[in-house]
Amino acid sequence: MKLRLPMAVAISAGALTLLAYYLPLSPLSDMRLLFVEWASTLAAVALLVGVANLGLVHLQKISALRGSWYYSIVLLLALVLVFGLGLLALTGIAPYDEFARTGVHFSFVYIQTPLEVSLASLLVVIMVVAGARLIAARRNWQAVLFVATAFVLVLGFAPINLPFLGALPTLREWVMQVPAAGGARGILLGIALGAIATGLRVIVGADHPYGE
Amino acid sequence: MCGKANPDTNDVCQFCGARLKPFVLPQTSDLQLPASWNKPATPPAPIPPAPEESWLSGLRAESEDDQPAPAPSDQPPAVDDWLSRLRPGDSNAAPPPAQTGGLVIGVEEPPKFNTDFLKSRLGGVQVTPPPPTAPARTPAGEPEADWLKTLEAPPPPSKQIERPKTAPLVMPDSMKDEIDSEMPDWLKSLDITQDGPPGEPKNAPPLQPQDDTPSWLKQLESPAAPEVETPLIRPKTAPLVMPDSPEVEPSSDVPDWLKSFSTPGLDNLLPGFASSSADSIQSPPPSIPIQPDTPGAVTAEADLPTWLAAMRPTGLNIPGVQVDQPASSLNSDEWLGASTPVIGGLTAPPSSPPPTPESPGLATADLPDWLKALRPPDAHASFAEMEPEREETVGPLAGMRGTLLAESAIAVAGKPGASVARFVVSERQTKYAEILRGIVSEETEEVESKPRRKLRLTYAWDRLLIAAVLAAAALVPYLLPPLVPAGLFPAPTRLSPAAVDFISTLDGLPGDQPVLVAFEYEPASTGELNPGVDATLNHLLRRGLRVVAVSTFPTGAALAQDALDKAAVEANIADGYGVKYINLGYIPGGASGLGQFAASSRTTLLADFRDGKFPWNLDVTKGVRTAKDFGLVVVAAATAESAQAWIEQVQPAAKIKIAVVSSAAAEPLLYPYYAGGGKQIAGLISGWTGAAAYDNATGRATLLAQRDPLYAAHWPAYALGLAAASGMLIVGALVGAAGALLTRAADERAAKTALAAADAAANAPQSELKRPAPKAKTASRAASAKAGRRTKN
Repeated sequence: MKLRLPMAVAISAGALTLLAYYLPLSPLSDMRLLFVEWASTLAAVALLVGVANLGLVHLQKISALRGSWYYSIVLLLALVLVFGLGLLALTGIAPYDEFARTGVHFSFVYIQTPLEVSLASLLVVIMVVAGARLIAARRNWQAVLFVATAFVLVLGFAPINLPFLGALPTLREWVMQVPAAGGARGILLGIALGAIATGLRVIVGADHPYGE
Repeated sequence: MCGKANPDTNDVCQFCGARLKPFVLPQTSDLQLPASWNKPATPPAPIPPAPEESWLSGLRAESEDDQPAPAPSDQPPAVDDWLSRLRPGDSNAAPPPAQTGGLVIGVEEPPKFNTDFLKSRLGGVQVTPPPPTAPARTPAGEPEADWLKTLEAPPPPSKQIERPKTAPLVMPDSMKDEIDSEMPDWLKSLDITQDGPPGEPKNAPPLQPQDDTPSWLKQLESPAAPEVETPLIRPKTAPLVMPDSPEVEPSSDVPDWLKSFSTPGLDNLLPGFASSSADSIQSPPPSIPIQPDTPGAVTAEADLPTWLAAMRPTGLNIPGVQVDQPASSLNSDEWLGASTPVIGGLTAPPSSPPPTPESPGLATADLPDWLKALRPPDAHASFAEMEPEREETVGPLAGMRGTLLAESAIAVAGKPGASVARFVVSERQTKYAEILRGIVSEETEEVESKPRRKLRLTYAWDRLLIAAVLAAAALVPYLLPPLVPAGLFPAPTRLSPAAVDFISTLDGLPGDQPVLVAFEYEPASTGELNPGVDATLNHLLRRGLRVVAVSTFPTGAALAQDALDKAAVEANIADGYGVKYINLGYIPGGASGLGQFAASSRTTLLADFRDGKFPWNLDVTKGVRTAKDFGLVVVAAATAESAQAWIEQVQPAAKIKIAVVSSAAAEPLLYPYYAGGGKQIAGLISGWTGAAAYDNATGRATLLAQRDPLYAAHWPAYALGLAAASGMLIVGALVGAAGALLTRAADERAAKTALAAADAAANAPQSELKRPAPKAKTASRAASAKAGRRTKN
C-alpha cells in the first residue's frame, strides 16, 4: 500500500497526460493542463523549499562552528538582504520600493554577474592547460586528434586576416556542420530514446522514482 | 510339446507322446478301491544300488499301479525315512511354477515319487509339482504315522537370505567356544568344511542312506564333484546354464516316467543330469544350495539358539551376488572362523577376485618403471579402501571389520594425495630468486633519511605561464594598440547560412504580433550571448515589434530586464516598458512550465518582473492568450538542452517559429534542428563572431564603433586570445611529445642499467648475492622511481 498508491497516482497521471497529446479532447486536455499547472506550482514551491533548506544548513553550520562557518555567515547575510530587498520592492511602498529595486539590480549586475563571468573565464585557462598537457598524459592517436581539432576550431573562430589561414574558417564550418553535427544527431537520438524508455518505464510502473 | 494338432479324444500326443490332459485325481470316496487298500503295504524291497534302470523302473511301475488315484494312506510309507522327510513341503504346499534364471519348467504330469532330492541336485532348478489335488484324508480312528505328521506340518516359509548391505559378521574367537557349546548336535553334524566346498553339505546321512542310494545318485556325489569350484555366493545372473545343446543325448537309461517331464529343458536336463551329472551342468552343481524347504534346513533353522538367530544377518544385499542358502545350513566352524570377509555367515570364495571390466581385444599395457613412477597415487581413494581391515572399536559394531565409517572420509586422515611435482629450477633462476630476495629484504632495511629542503615549490608553472600568455594576448590591443597591426584582425563579417536565415526571419515578421524572447542562460554566459541578444533586441525594437521576455532561469529574468533596458535605450524607447517591451519574468517548472505556458500563457504568469503587475492587460501583450499568438520565439540559450526544451514543448503546441541565439559550444547540438527537414529552428546565431557578423549585416556595428572607442579593440583582443590559446595547444602538445620521448629514452636507459646490474649480480659468486652491488641498487631504485612517476602522470 505504501508503494501502490504513489504508483497508481503516477501511472494514471502519466497515462492521462500522454493520452491527451494524442487525443486532444476537452476532458483530457483540461486534465493535462491541470496536471502541468500542479507541476509548475510544485516546482516553484520546491525552489522556496530549497532556499529554506540552504539557510537551515548554513545556520546549523554556524551554530556548531563547523568547518568554514564564517562563509556561511556571509551567505546567510546575502540571502536575507537580497530576499528582503526583493520583498520590499514588491510592496510598492515608495520610496522604499525603488530603493529596494535598485539594490537588487545592483547586487545582480555588479556582484553576481561579474563573479560568474570570472569563473567562466577561468574555464578558458583550464581548458587550454588541459589541452596542452594532453599529449604528455596520453600518448595515443585520440589525444593527437583532439588537439588537432581544437586547434582548427579555435583558430578558425579567430578573425585573422592571413592568407595561409584563409581556409581555416571553412574547415571549421565543415567540422561543425558535418562530423560534429553527425555526432550530435546520434546523441540527440540516444537522448530521445532514453527519455521515451524512461517515461514508459515510469508509466508502466517498472520505475518508481517517487518511492522505494 | 511338439505343437502339432491332436484329436480331442487323445490323452497323449500321437506324435511326441506328451500328455495332453492333466491328471485329475478323483476323490477317495469316488474310487473303487480294494478292501485292503488301506492296509499296511508291504515295505518295498530295498532298492538295489544298481542298475538305475531297475530302480527307476520300479518307481515307474509303482507309479503306474497307483494311478489314477494314488491317495496316500495312513500306513507307514513304503519309503525310507530320509525319503519321507523329503516329502513335506510338496504335499500341501503349492509352490509357484519353477523358475530358474528365467527358465520355467512346467511339469505336466506329476510324478508320484518325491523329487526333492532331484531338486536339491538341480541347483536352482526348482521342479514344481503339479497343482495340489485334494488332500488325502486319513481315515478316522487310524493313528497317523509320524512321517505323515511331518508331511502335514506346514512347511517353513521358503526364505531367501537377505543379504546385509554392510558389514560381514566376524565372530570373535572368544565366542566360538561358546557357540560350540551351545550348538546343537545336528548343527555340528552339518560340518561342511571337512570335505569339498563350503556350499556342499557333505555329511547328510539322513538324506542319503548308503544302502538306498542309487548309483546314478552316487555319481552326483562322486569325488569329482567337490573338486568343482563351488562359490557359495553365486553370481546372481545366470546361475545355471541349462545344457540345451544337442550334443547332450538323451540317455537310454532314463525311464519313461522321467521322460514324461516333457519340458524341453527338463528333457535335456534330466538325462544329462542323470547320465553325466554335474559335468553337463556348467553351473557348479555342488554349489547348489540346500533348498530352504529341506527338512534338515528347517530343523536347523528352527533349532538355532536365540543368540545365533539374532546374529543371523538379514538384509544382506551384495550386488551381483545371490545367496541361496540359509546361514544355518553352513558349517559354523567355517564362517565363524573365517579370516576372509564373511558376509552374513557366508564366506566368499577366497580365490575369486572381482571381475574387472576389460575389453577382450585389448592387451594390458606394460608400463615402464619410469612411467609407473609418474602415475599419481589414488588421492581419491576412500578411507575404507585404504584400511579395509579397520576394526570398529565402539558401538554395537565393535569388533567388526570392514564397517563403513561413521564420519566422513574427508574428516579422517588418510593417504596423502598426489605429491607436488618437483620444480625444476635452473641455476640462473635460482640466482634471480636470490636477487629478488635481496631486493625485498632491502626494502625492510632502515635507511637514513636525508634532510630535505624545507621550501619546495610545487606550483604548476605551466598553468601560470599559459594564463599569463592568454591575459597578455587579450590585453595587448587595449593597452598597447600600436603593437597591433592595422587590418590584421578585422571584425567578422561572414554570415553563416543559419545566421542569414535568422536575419531574414526577423525581417519577415509581421508588425502586429509580438515576439517572445527567452533568456535561457546564466550571468556566466553573458559575455558570449549578450552581443547576440543585444543585436536581436535592437533589430526587433528598431523594426517596431513588441518584445516580451521570459526565462526558465531565476537569474535569466534579471538578465532579460537588463538587456531590455539597454536595447530600449539604444532604440530610443526607454519609456516603452509595457508598451513596446515587457519582462514577464521567471517561468517555474522547467519543461512542464513551458508546456503550460505554451498552452495557457495568461494563467502561467500573472505578474511582470519589474513592476509585479498583471501583464495581460497591457498594450505589449494585446491579443496574446497563448504562445500561439506570438509571431516568433527567439531563444537565447547557452546550452543545447535549454533550447531543446522550447523546441520540444512549445513549438509542437503553439506551431510557432523558433530562432536561436546560442553559444558556440551549443551550436553543433542545435545545428541538426536547423539543418533538418522540419526546420525546427528558423535561424541560428552562434557565439560572439556570429553576433558581430549579425551587427555588421544590420549596420549596428558602425553605430557601436562610433559609440564606444574601445569597440575597435575588441576583435584584435579576441583574435589574439584565440591565437594564443591555439598556440598554447600546439606548444603544449609538442612539449608533451618531446617529454614523452625523453622519458621513454630515460626509462629504457634505466631499464638497461638495471638489467645489466642484475645480470652482473647473477653472474657474481653466490657469496656476494646477499648484498647487491651499489650500481644495481641505484639502478633498480631509479627504475622504480621513474615507473612511479609515470604512474602519477
